[in-house]
Amino acid sequence: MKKTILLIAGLLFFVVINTAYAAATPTPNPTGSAQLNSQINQLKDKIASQVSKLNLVEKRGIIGTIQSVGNNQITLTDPQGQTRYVDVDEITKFSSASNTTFGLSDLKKGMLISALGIYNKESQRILARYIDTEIVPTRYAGEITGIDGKNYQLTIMTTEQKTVKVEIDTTSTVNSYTTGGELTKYGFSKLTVGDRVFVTGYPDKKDATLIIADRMIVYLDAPKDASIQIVTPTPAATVAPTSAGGKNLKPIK
Amino acid sequence: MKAEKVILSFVAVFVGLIAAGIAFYLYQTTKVIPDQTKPSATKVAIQTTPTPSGTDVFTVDSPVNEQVFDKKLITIKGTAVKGAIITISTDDVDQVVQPADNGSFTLTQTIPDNTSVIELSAIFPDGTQKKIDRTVTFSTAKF
Repeated sequence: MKKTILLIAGLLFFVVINTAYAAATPTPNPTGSAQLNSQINQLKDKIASQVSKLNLVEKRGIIGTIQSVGNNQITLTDPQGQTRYVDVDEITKFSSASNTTFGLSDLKKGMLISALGIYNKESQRILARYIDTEIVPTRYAGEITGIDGKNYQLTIMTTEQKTVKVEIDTTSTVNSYTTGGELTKYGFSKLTVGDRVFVTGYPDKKDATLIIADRMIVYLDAPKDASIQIVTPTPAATVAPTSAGGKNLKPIK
Repeated sequence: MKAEKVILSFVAVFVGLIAAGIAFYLYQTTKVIPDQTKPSATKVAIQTTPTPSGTDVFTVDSPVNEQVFDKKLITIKGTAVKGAIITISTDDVDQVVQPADNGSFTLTQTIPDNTSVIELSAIFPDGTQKKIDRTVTFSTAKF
Protein backbone atom coordinates (compact mmCIF):
# COMPACT_ATOMS: atom_id res chain seq x y z
CA MET A 1 0.00 0.00 0.00
CA LYS A 2 2.82 2.31 0.84
CA LYS A 3 4.13 1.69 -2.63
CA THR A 4 0.82 2.79 -4.12
CA ILE A 5 0.85 5.98 -2.05
CA LEU A 6 4.42 6.70 -3.07
CA LEU A 7 3.53 6.05 -6.72
CA ILE A 8 0.57 8.44 -6.56
CA ALA A 9 2.68 11.06 -4.78
CA GLY A 10 5.36 10.72 -7.45
CA LEU A 11 2.82 10.99 -10.21
CA LEU A 12 1.35 14.05 -8.55
CA PHE A 13 4.78 15.66 -8.29
CA PHE A 14 5.47 14.91 -11.93
CA VAL A 15 2.17 16.44 -13.02
CA VAL A 16 2.67 19.59 -10.90
CA ILE A 17 6.21 20.14 -12.17
CA ASN A 18 5.14 19.61 -15.77
CA THR A 19 2.22 22.01 -15.57
CA ALA A 20 4.36 24.62 -13.82
CA TYR A 21 6.91 24.36 -16.61
CA ALA A 22 4.19 24.54 -19.23
CA ALA A 23 2.75 27.64 -17.57
CA ALA A 24 6.17 29.27 -17.32
CA THR A 25 6.96 28.67 -21.00
CA PRO A 26 6.18 31.95 -22.76
CA THR A 27 3.52 31.87 -25.40
CA PRO A 28 4.45 33.46 -28.71
CA ASN A 29 4.54 37.21 -27.95
CA PRO A 30 3.45 39.73 -30.55
CA THR A 31 6.19 42.16 -29.42
CA GLY A 32 8.30 41.42 -32.49
CA SER A 33 5.51 42.11 -34.96
CA ALA A 34 4.51 45.23 -32.99
CA GLN A 35 8.02 46.60 -33.37
CA LEU A 36 7.88 45.88 -37.07
CA ASN A 37 4.52 47.64 -37.32
CA SER A 38 5.90 50.59 -35.41
CA GLN A 39 8.84 50.86 -37.79
CA ILE A 40 6.51 50.62 -40.77
CA ASN A 41 4.34 53.40 -39.31
CA GLN A 42 7.38 55.60 -38.69
CA LEU A 43 8.46 55.08 -42.27
CA LYS A 44 4.95 55.90 -43.49
CA ASP A 45 4.98 59.12 -41.43
CA LYS A 46 8.32 60.14 -42.89
CA ILE A 47 7.10 59.49 -46.43
CA ALA A 48 3.87 61.43 -45.75
CA SER A 49 5.88 64.32 -44.31
CA GLN A 50 8.10 64.48 -47.37
CA VAL A 51 5.10 64.31 -49.70
CA SER A 52 3.37 67.13 -47.82
CA LYS A 53 6.57 69.19 -48.03
CA LEU A 54 6.61 68.65 -51.76
CA ASN A 55 2.97 69.86 -51.94
CA LEU A 56 3.57 72.76 -49.59
CA VAL A 57 3.68 75.33 -52.37
CA GLU A 58 1.45 75.85 -55.37
CA LYS A 59 0.70 78.46 -58.01
CA ARG A 60 -2.05 80.86 -57.05
CA GLY A 61 -3.54 84.07 -58.28
CA ILE A 62 -5.28 86.45 -55.93
CA ILE A 63 -7.06 89.77 -56.20
CA GLY A 64 -7.25 92.30 -53.42
CA THR A 65 -7.34 95.90 -52.33
CA ILE A 66 -4.05 97.25 -51.00
CA GLN A 67 -4.06 98.00 -47.27
CA SER A 68 -0.37 98.76 -46.91
CA VAL A 69 2.88 98.56 -48.85
CA GLY A 70 6.36 98.37 -47.42
CA ASN A 71 9.54 96.42 -46.95
CA ASN A 72 8.94 94.16 -49.95
CA GLN A 73 5.56 93.17 -48.56
CA ILE A 74 2.06 94.11 -49.65
CA THR A 75 -0.97 93.60 -47.44
CA LEU A 76 -4.26 93.06 -49.27
CA THR A 77 -7.88 92.49 -48.43
CA ASP A 78 -9.33 89.87 -50.77
CA PRO A 79 -12.96 89.76 -52.04
CA GLN A 80 -13.86 87.51 -49.09
CA GLY A 81 -12.60 90.16 -46.66
CA GLN A 82 -9.54 88.16 -45.61
CA THR A 83 -6.15 89.84 -45.05
CA ARG A 84 -3.53 88.44 -47.44
CA TYR A 85 0.23 88.92 -47.42
CA VAL A 86 2.14 89.21 -50.67
CA ASP A 87 5.95 89.18 -50.78
CA VAL A 88 7.82 90.70 -53.67
CA ASP A 89 11.44 90.27 -54.69
CA GLU A 90 13.80 91.47 -57.41
CA ILE A 91 12.26 89.22 -60.08
CA THR A 92 8.65 90.22 -59.44
CA LYS A 93 7.22 91.90 -62.53
CA PHE A 94 4.84 94.84 -62.14
CA SER A 95 2.46 96.02 -64.84
CA SER A 96 -0.41 98.41 -65.26
CA ALA A 97 -2.60 99.21 -68.24
CA SER A 98 -2.24 102.93 -67.58
CA ASN A 99 1.48 103.09 -66.68
CA THR A 100 4.29 101.47 -68.62
CA THR A 101 6.90 102.12 -65.91
CA PHE A 102 4.81 100.73 -63.11
CA GLY A 103 6.68 99.49 -60.04
CA LEU A 104 6.46 98.77 -56.33
CA SER A 105 6.68 102.45 -55.47
CA ASP A 106 3.54 103.14 -57.54
CA LEU A 107 1.39 100.88 -55.38
CA LYS A 108 -0.89 102.90 -53.11
CA LYS A 109 -3.43 102.08 -50.44
CA GLY A 110 -6.87 101.43 -51.92
CA MET A 111 -5.62 100.19 -55.30
CA LEU A 112 -7.05 96.94 -56.62
CA ILE A 113 -4.31 94.59 -57.76
CA SER A 114 -3.80 90.95 -58.65
CA ALA A 115 -0.81 88.91 -57.57
CA LEU A 116 0.20 85.72 -59.32
CA GLY A 117 2.92 83.68 -57.70
CA ILE A 118 3.93 80.85 -55.40
CA TYR A 119 1.67 80.33 -52.43
CA ASN A 120 3.09 78.67 -49.33
CA LYS A 121 0.36 76.74 -47.54
CA GLU A 122 2.24 76.76 -44.26
CA SER A 123 3.05 80.46 -44.03
CA GLN A 124 -0.08 81.38 -46.08
CA ARG A 125 1.97 83.98 -47.97
CA ILE A 126 2.29 84.39 -51.69
CA LEU A 127 5.63 85.19 -53.30
CA ALA A 128 4.49 87.25 -56.26
CA ARG A 129 5.97 86.74 -59.68
CA TYR A 130 3.52 89.08 -61.42
CA ILE A 131 1.59 92.03 -60.00
CA ASP A 132 -0.99 93.87 -62.11
CA THR A 133 -3.52 96.59 -61.44
CA GLU A 134 -7.07 95.35 -61.87
CA ILE A 135 -10.48 96.73 -62.76
CA VAL A 136 -13.21 94.37 -61.61
CA PRO A 137 -16.76 94.98 -62.85
CA THR A 138 -19.46 95.92 -60.37
CA ARG A 139 -22.30 93.41 -60.17
CA TYR A 140 -25.75 93.88 -58.68
CA ALA A 141 -28.66 91.47 -58.34
CA GLY A 142 -32.08 92.77 -57.39
CA GLU A 143 -35.37 94.13 -58.63
CA ILE A 144 -36.20 97.25 -60.62
CA THR A 145 -37.93 99.77 -58.37
CA GLY A 146 -37.95 102.73 -60.76
CA ILE A 147 -37.57 103.45 -64.47
CA ASP A 148 -36.46 106.79 -65.89
CA GLY A 149 -37.32 106.32 -69.56
CA LYS A 150 -36.06 109.78 -70.48
CA ASN A 151 -32.49 109.20 -69.25
CA TYR A 152 -32.50 105.42 -69.75
CA GLN A 153 -31.82 104.95 -66.09
CA LEU A 154 -33.09 102.32 -63.66
CA THR A 155 -33.31 102.29 -59.90
CA ILE A 156 -32.57 98.85 -58.53
CA MET A 157 -33.08 97.53 -55.02
CA THR A 158 -30.43 94.87 -54.48
CA THR A 159 -30.82 91.70 -52.46
CA GLU A 160 -28.61 93.40 -49.84
CA GLN A 161 -31.29 96.14 -49.52
CA LYS A 162 -29.13 98.71 -51.30
CA THR A 163 -30.56 101.15 -53.83
CA VAL A 164 -28.41 101.72 -56.91
CA LYS A 165 -28.83 103.71 -60.13
CA VAL A 166 -28.00 101.99 -63.38
CA GLU A 167 -27.80 103.57 -66.80
CA ILE A 168 -28.47 101.55 -69.93
CA ASP A 169 -26.57 103.11 -72.80
CA THR A 170 -26.07 102.17 -76.42
CA THR A 171 -23.23 99.76 -75.62
CA SER A 172 -25.21 97.89 -72.95
CA THR A 173 -26.46 94.38 -73.71
CA VAL A 174 -29.85 93.53 -72.25
CA ASN A 175 -30.95 89.87 -72.29
CA SER A 176 -33.90 88.05 -70.83
CA TYR A 177 -34.04 84.56 -69.37
CA THR A 178 -37.01 82.27 -68.96
CA THR A 179 -36.85 78.92 -67.17
CA GLY A 180 -35.63 76.18 -69.46
CA GLY A 181 -34.73 78.66 -72.18
CA GLU A 182 -31.68 80.62 -73.21
CA LEU A 183 -30.57 84.22 -72.98
CA THR A 184 -32.57 86.25 -75.50
CA LYS A 185 -32.17 89.89 -76.56
CA TYR A 186 -34.45 92.22 -74.65
CA GLY A 187 -35.28 95.89 -74.90
CA PHE A 188 -35.26 98.74 -72.41
CA SER A 189 -38.86 99.60 -73.31
CA LYS A 190 -40.03 96.16 -72.14
CA LEU A 191 -38.63 96.61 -68.62
CA THR A 192 -41.17 97.01 -65.84
CA VAL A 193 -40.98 97.81 -62.15
CA GLY A 194 -40.54 94.57 -60.18
CA ASP A 195 -38.47 92.80 -62.82
CA ARG A 196 -35.74 90.70 -61.30
CA VAL A 197 -32.38 91.64 -62.85
CA PHE A 198 -28.64 90.97 -62.72
CA VAL A 199 -26.47 93.90 -63.79
CA THR A 200 -22.76 93.94 -64.61
CA GLY A 201 -21.17 97.31 -65.22
CA TYR A 202 -18.64 99.93 -64.24
CA PRO A 203 -19.00 103.15 -62.25
CA ASP A 204 -19.52 106.32 -64.27
CA LYS A 205 -16.35 108.46 -64.45
CA LYS A 206 -18.26 111.62 -63.47
CA ASP A 207 -20.70 110.15 -60.97
CA ALA A 208 -19.31 107.11 -59.13
CA THR A 209 -22.75 106.30 -57.70
CA LEU A 210 -24.12 105.69 -61.19
CA ILE A 211 -23.34 102.32 -62.80
CA ILE A 212 -23.06 102.20 -66.57
CA ALA A 213 -24.39 98.76 -67.44
CA ASP A 214 -22.23 96.60 -69.63
CA ARG A 215 -24.70 93.68 -69.48
CA MET A 216 -28.06 93.08 -67.87
CA ILE A 217 -30.13 89.91 -67.52
CA VAL A 218 -33.86 90.14 -66.86
CA TYR A 219 -35.28 86.98 -65.26
CA LEU A 220 -38.81 86.96 -66.64
CA ASP A 221 -40.28 84.15 -64.54
CA ALA A 222 -37.97 84.11 -61.53
CA PRO A 223 -39.61 84.11 -58.11
CA LYS A 224 -39.70 87.44 -56.27
CA ASP A 225 -37.41 88.08 -53.33
CA ALA A 226 -39.63 88.66 -50.31
CA SER A 227 -36.97 90.86 -48.69
CA ILE A 228 -37.27 93.44 -51.48
CA GLN A 229 -40.23 95.67 -50.80
CA ILE A 230 -41.17 97.94 -53.69
CA VAL A 231 -42.90 101.06 -52.42
CA THR A 232 -45.06 102.67 -55.06
CA PRO A 233 -45.68 106.36 -54.28
CA THR A 234 -49.32 107.02 -53.44
CA PRO A 235 -50.86 110.14 -55.04
CA ALA A 236 -51.23 113.11 -52.68
CA ALA A 237 -54.78 113.63 -51.44
CA THR A 238 -56.44 116.50 -53.28
CA VAL A 239 -58.74 118.87 -51.48
CA ALA A 240 -61.90 119.59 -53.44
CA PRO A 241 -62.52 123.34 -53.71
CA THR A 242 -65.68 124.55 -52.11
CA SER A 243 -68.25 126.05 -54.44
CA ALA A 244 -68.78 129.79 -54.52
CA GLY A 245 -72.39 129.41 -53.45
CA GLY A 246 -71.56 127.64 -50.22
CA LYS A 247 -72.68 129.05 -46.94
CA ASN A 248 -70.20 130.32 -44.40
CA LEU A 249 -70.68 128.80 -41.02
CA LYS A 250 -70.27 131.08 -38.08
CA PRO A 251 -69.40 129.77 -34.68
CA ILE A 252 -72.18 129.97 -32.08
CA LYS A 253 -71.46 132.57 -29.46
CA MET B 1 -6.70 0.94 5.62
CA LYS B 2 -9.18 3.66 6.51
CA ALA B 3 -6.43 6.21 6.95
CA GLU B 4 -5.04 5.30 3.53
CA LYS B 5 -8.47 5.84 1.95
CA VAL B 6 -8.76 9.28 3.56
CA ILE B 7 -5.29 10.26 2.41
CA LEU B 8 -6.03 9.01 -1.10
CA SER B 9 -9.28 11.01 -1.15
CA PHE B 10 -7.42 14.18 -0.13
CA VAL B 11 -4.75 13.52 -2.73
CA ALA B 12 -7.43 12.97 -5.40
CA VAL B 13 -9.18 16.23 -4.45
CA PHE B 14 -5.85 18.04 -4.49
CA VAL B 15 -4.98 16.64 -7.91
CA GLY B 16 -8.42 17.61 -9.20
CA LEU B 17 -8.02 21.18 -7.93
CA ILE B 18 -4.55 21.46 -9.45
CA ALA B 19 -5.78 20.11 -12.78
CA ALA B 20 -8.75 22.50 -12.78
CA GLY B 21 -6.46 25.42 -11.90
CA ILE B 22 -4.06 24.53 -14.70
CA ALA B 23 -6.90 24.16 -17.14
CA PHE B 24 -8.29 27.60 -16.14
CA TYR B 25 -4.82 29.20 -16.39
CA LEU B 26 -4.27 27.73 -19.83
CA TYR B 27 -7.71 28.90 -20.95
CA GLN B 28 -6.96 32.47 -19.82
CA THR B 29 -3.59 32.59 -21.55
CA THR B 30 -5.00 31.37 -24.82
CA LYS B 31 -7.55 34.23 -24.94
CA VAL B 32 -6.73 36.82 -27.62
CA ILE B 33 -7.78 40.42 -26.97
CA PRO B 34 -8.68 42.01 -30.29
CA ASP B 35 -6.69 45.11 -31.30
CA GLN B 36 -9.08 48.05 -30.96
CA THR B 37 -7.05 50.25 -33.25
CA LYS B 38 -7.69 48.03 -36.23
CA PRO B 39 -11.12 47.98 -37.79
CA SER B 40 -12.88 44.69 -37.18
CA ALA B 41 -14.54 44.79 -40.55
CA THR B 42 -13.97 46.66 -43.77
CA LYS B 43 -16.69 49.18 -44.27
CA VAL B 44 -17.68 49.73 -47.84
CA ALA B 45 -18.84 53.28 -48.43
CA ILE B 46 -21.61 53.49 -50.96
CA GLN B 47 -21.18 56.60 -53.02
CA THR B 48 -24.44 58.18 -54.00
CA THR B 49 -25.34 61.58 -55.33
CA PRO B 50 -28.27 62.66 -53.19
CA THR B 51 -30.47 65.52 -54.19
CA PRO B 52 -29.60 68.59 -52.07
CA SER B 53 -32.22 68.77 -49.34
CA GLY B 54 -31.95 72.38 -48.14
CA THR B 55 -33.77 75.26 -49.76
CA ASP B 56 -30.62 77.33 -50.22
CA VAL B 57 -28.02 74.72 -51.18
CA PHE B 58 -25.49 76.18 -53.56
CA THR B 59 -21.90 74.97 -53.81
CA VAL B 60 -19.18 75.31 -56.41
CA ASP B 61 -16.78 72.36 -56.54
CA SER B 62 -14.75 73.55 -59.50
CA PRO B 63 -12.91 75.85 -60.02
CA VAL B 64 -11.25 76.14 -56.64
CA ASN B 65 -10.76 79.70 -55.45
CA GLU B 66 -7.46 81.26 -56.64
CA GLN B 67 -6.81 78.40 -59.05
CA VAL B 68 -4.40 78.99 -61.93
CA PHE B 69 -5.23 77.51 -65.34
CA ASP B 70 -3.01 77.13 -68.37
CA LYS B 71 -6.08 76.83 -70.63
CA LYS B 72 -8.73 79.46 -71.20
CA LEU B 73 -11.63 77.00 -71.35
CA ILE B 74 -12.48 75.77 -67.87
CA THR B 75 -15.19 73.54 -66.44
CA ILE B 76 -17.47 74.87 -63.76
CA LYS B 77 -19.13 72.25 -61.56
CA GLY B 78 -21.34 72.47 -58.54
CA THR B 79 -24.63 71.66 -56.90
CA ALA B 80 -27.75 73.64 -56.15
CA VAL B 81 -31.27 72.96 -55.07
CA LYS B 82 -33.53 71.79 -57.89
CA GLY B 83 -35.27 74.65 -59.65
CA ALA B 84 -32.58 77.23 -58.86
CA ILE B 85 -31.47 79.66 -61.56
CA ILE B 86 -27.69 79.90 -61.64
CA THR B 87 -25.92 82.83 -63.30
CA ILE B 88 -22.21 82.66 -64.07
CA SER B 89 -20.67 86.04 -64.74
CA THR B 90 -17.11 86.68 -65.90
CA ASP B 91 -15.61 90.03 -66.89
CA ASP B 92 -16.84 89.55 -70.46
CA VAL B 93 -19.85 87.27 -70.57
CA ASP B 94 -22.79 85.81 -68.62
CA GLN B 95 -24.28 82.33 -68.73
CA VAL B 96 -27.46 81.08 -67.08
CA VAL B 97 -28.05 77.39 -66.25
CA GLN B 98 -30.37 75.29 -64.13
CA PRO B 99 -29.26 72.22 -62.16
CA ALA B 100 -30.26 68.68 -63.12
CA ASP B 101 -32.77 66.67 -61.07
CA ASN B 102 -30.02 65.54 -58.69
CA GLY B 103 -28.95 69.15 -58.18
CA SER B 104 -25.67 69.03 -60.07
CA PHE B 105 -24.68 71.45 -62.78
CA THR B 106 -21.72 71.51 -65.16
CA LEU B 107 -20.76 73.94 -67.88
CA THR B 108 -17.69 75.19 -69.68
CA GLN B 109 -16.59 78.79 -69.55
CA THR B 110 -13.87 80.79 -71.26
CA ILE B 111 -11.96 82.87 -68.75
CA PRO B 112 -10.25 86.20 -69.48
CA ASP B 113 -6.48 86.65 -69.57
CA ASN B 114 -4.66 87.12 -66.25
CA THR B 115 -6.57 87.16 -62.96
CA SER B 116 -10.31 87.78 -62.77
CA VAL B 117 -13.28 87.12 -60.54
CA ILE B 118 -16.11 84.83 -61.63
CA GLU B 119 -19.34 85.54 -59.80
CA LEU B 120 -21.77 82.64 -59.49
CA SER B 121 -25.20 83.48 -58.11
CA ALA B 122 -28.24 81.30 -57.56
CA ILE B 123 -31.86 82.40 -57.33
CA PHE B 124 -33.67 79.76 -55.27
CA PRO B 125 -37.30 78.71 -55.79
CA ASP B 126 -38.28 80.65 -52.64
CA GLY B 127 -36.93 83.86 -54.18
CA THR B 128 -33.80 84.22 -52.04
CA GLN B 129 -30.40 84.56 -53.65
CA LYS B 130 -26.88 83.42 -52.79
CA LYS B 131 -23.59 84.28 -54.50
CA ILE B 132 -20.15 82.69 -54.58
CA ASP B 133 -17.01 84.36 -55.96
CA ARG B 134 -14.12 82.47 -57.51
CA THR B 135 -10.85 84.18 -58.34
CA VAL B 136 -9.27 82.43 -61.31
CA THR B 137 -6.14 83.08 -63.35
CA PHE B 138 -5.22 82.16 -66.86
CA SER B 139 -1.45 82.04 -67.17
CA THR B 140 1.04 79.92 -69.06
CA ALA B 141 4.01 81.49 -67.30
CA LYS B 142 6.53 79.04 -65.86
CA PHE B 143 7.86 79.81 -62.39
